[in-house]
Amino acid sequence: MVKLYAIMLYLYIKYPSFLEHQAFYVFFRASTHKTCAQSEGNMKLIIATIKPFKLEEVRIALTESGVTGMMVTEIKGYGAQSGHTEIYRGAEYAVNFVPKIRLDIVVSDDEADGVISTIENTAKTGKIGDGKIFVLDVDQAVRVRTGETGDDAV
Amino acid sequence: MKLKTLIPAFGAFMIASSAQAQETAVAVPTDTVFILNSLLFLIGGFLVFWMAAGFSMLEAGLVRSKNVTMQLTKNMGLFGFACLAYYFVGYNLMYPLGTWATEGVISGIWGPAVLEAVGVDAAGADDYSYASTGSDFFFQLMFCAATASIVSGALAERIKLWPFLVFTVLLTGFIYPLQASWKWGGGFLDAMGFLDFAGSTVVHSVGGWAALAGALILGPRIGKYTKDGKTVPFMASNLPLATLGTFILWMGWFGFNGGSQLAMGSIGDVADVSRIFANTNAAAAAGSIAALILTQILYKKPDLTMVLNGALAGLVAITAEPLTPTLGSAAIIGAIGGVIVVFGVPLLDKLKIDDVVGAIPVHLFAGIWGTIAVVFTNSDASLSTQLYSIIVVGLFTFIASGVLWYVIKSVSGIRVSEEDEITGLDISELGMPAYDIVK
Repeated sequence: MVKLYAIMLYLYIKYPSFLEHQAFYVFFRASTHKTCAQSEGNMKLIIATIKPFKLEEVRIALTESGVTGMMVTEIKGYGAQSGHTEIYRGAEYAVNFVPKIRLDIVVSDDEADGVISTIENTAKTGKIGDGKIFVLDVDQAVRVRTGETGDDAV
Repeated sequence: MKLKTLIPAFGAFMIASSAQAQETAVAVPTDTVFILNSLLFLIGGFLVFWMAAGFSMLEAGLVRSKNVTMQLTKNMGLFGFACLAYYFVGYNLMYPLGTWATEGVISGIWGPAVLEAVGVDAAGADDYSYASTGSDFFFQLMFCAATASIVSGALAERIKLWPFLVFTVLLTGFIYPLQASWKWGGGFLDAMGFLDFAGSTVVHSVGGWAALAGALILGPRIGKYTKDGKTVPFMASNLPLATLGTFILWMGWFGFNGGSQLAMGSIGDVADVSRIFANTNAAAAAGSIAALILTQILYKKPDLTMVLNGALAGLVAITAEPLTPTLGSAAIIGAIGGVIVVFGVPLLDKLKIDDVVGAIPVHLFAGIWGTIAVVFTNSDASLSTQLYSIIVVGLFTFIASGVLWYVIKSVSGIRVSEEDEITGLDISELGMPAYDIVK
């Protein structure tokens, strides 16, 4: 990681505009991913928004791939789709917020890619509004019953 | 049969004094005819009574959840008051039995309805040649209450309870019976040859006109129309209830139209009642299908609330003449009613007239259509007389209702405060939510 930041600093001094370049993010993401995966006890929080009718399919696929738990929330929101319109008794109205399901899944780093691709493959319909997946680092996890921490707790 | 359709809805005593009716309805008075005629009134009456439940469920389903208890309270209240007002003054005002204060216009009998004595025999019956007074009173009372039910839906979610009930008393005690006497009491419209079998104009349009006058004076619900002229949909609280209400009304309508044959003591009458049942049903079915297909085409998705209104509009449209059409023409008359509603609802919104449940398109617009449609299937009808009667009844009801609404508004106010309206009438006026789901 130190080495990566050194390269970034060097690039930033030499080419201040490199941060705007998309290729950098691809490089950065691959690098951090590789770096983090090597270290033990680190976890990822995977937040996925999916179409509600895909929930059961995604749950089964994740369970089969070894995911043992998830948090599910019914949410409303909009993204690129930015809602749609409906008609009630002849009056058109905008549905700004579309119902979605939000999944919060915490897994160890080495499982993260598998979970992401499972969600991606299962939730995909190819139509507008399939949703998004976000990945965050998780500092700590504790299993309340046993006091286990880190990877062991998820 | 032709003669019968000329005098479709006379009161008990009018029938007795009408030579035409005696020829066709009752040739020889017998116990059986008396019993069967009375039975038709009683069966028809309790079917029409059940329409009060239909209106209640339809309206409770179509208002927002914060106003459901109030809507049900208004429906219970209006029915009770309608029954009393019709008893105290309405019945005799509607059936002057030839005793006019102003010939053909205003009844000369002002006072409560009086039933026959307990356990009368043939000689003691008010009209042994026809039917019992109690059965006739009961049947006609239910029609009067139905008129008031029409008004409550249009003015929902913003009118105060008591001013609404005061109007109900005046509508059911005076406005409805007075104009009904012009046709069904043997008044001047009847003398002109106006045909309105079960009341597309006399009942439904009258309710619609009273609702329209009220809606104009009351104004739309807060937030219903934006400044740039757009209509904001307020979602129905409970579509299962609205659908149940529509089916209850549909069922009640068999009594409404079938009972309006007003006789069941002969082969011809029973066959006619049967014909009316089948035609009424066909019109409702076609009205609902018309709205279903039309909303699918216009909006890309069918709108259930319009389908419900469409069925009711079909029923209203066939009410003026449910006997003479064939099943096919009954269906066409009903289908046009359904089409009228699908265009009528957004039309009212364009004019910023806020009719919560679509009562005005269903009862007024389809009622006018049904009254005109009589001329297509009944050769005894004249278009000019039908139009003249629509205008006379419309003007009278609209002006009388408008004046009453205005007076009530000036005296006590008719609209709840802005805060109460936004909070919802259930909590602000009654302190009682309909659905206690938020613990």
